[in-house]
Amino acid sequence: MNEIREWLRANDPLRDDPCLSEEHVHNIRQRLFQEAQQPTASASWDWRRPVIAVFALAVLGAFGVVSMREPASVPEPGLPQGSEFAPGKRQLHFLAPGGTRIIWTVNDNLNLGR
Amino acid sequence: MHVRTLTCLVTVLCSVALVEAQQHSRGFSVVLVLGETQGSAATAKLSPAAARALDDVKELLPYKTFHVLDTLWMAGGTSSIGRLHGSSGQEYDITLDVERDNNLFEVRLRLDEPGANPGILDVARLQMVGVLEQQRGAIERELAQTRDQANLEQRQALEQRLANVRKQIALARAMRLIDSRFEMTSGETVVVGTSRLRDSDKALIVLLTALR
Repeated sequence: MNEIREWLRANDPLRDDPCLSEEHVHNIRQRLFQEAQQPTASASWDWRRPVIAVFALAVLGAFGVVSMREPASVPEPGLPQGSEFAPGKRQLHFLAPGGTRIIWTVNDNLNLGR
Repeated sequence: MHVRTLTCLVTVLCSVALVEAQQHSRGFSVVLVLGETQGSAATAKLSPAAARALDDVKELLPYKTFHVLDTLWMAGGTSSIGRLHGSSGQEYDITLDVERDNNLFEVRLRLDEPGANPGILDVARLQMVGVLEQQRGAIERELAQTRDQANLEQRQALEQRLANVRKQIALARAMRLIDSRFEMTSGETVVVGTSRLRDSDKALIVLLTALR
């Protein structure tokens, strides 16, 4: 056993390498302690991520509310905007096979026979 | 220098004239058609665009015959009013409000019976008609009772009252038949119609063509 230990020591390539000075060792230790005490970059990212997510949700919500309040740019089939049509009249928009547009008003009070 | 100024002036004038020509519409062709489920009358001669549109919609609509009641040309201005003649002496007022955006027309088409007041709800209007019909019945009964009497002045007064009530009934019955907003392009024909949902044996149809 002693022979192996002695053999390893004898063949250690750093046997003759000079050790670090006391001052150098102290500086490295101090630096390690300082780094350990400071908050890491990953920790700060974890703290900001929920804030960014909440902000993004708030912006999306605001866009949603605005888009719901704004009228659609394409008029929907139905009663014409601003018309003085009374209840009981309905309007349909449809397309004939050849592409002719038909706008039809259904009026139960209509009397064409009189 | 003068030649250059003159050339610029001519160019500007030509541009203005071109824009004016593009914005100017040749107006709208209006054809009033009565569609009926009964009968076999031939359709009168129509413009190619209107005839093509009518042929196209025939497959969709439940009417067998289409009688052309009246035709009208209306200017392509912002607002124009015309009168159409229907069957049995009935008349209709048509109003076209047009806004042009390049080659696109934003149209509001209204078809009214003369004297129609669209501000009055149909329910109120029909109640008014009911009251006037009762008055008409009372006057007619009174007239029948005085038929044998020799009092000519009383009869004439009753006949005058009856004529007035009939006019009021016609006005009270008058209503807005169509009020539609739509877009159309130059040369296009849009079919705008109205009918009842049930017992719909007749329909009033307007073929509106934006003339090129």
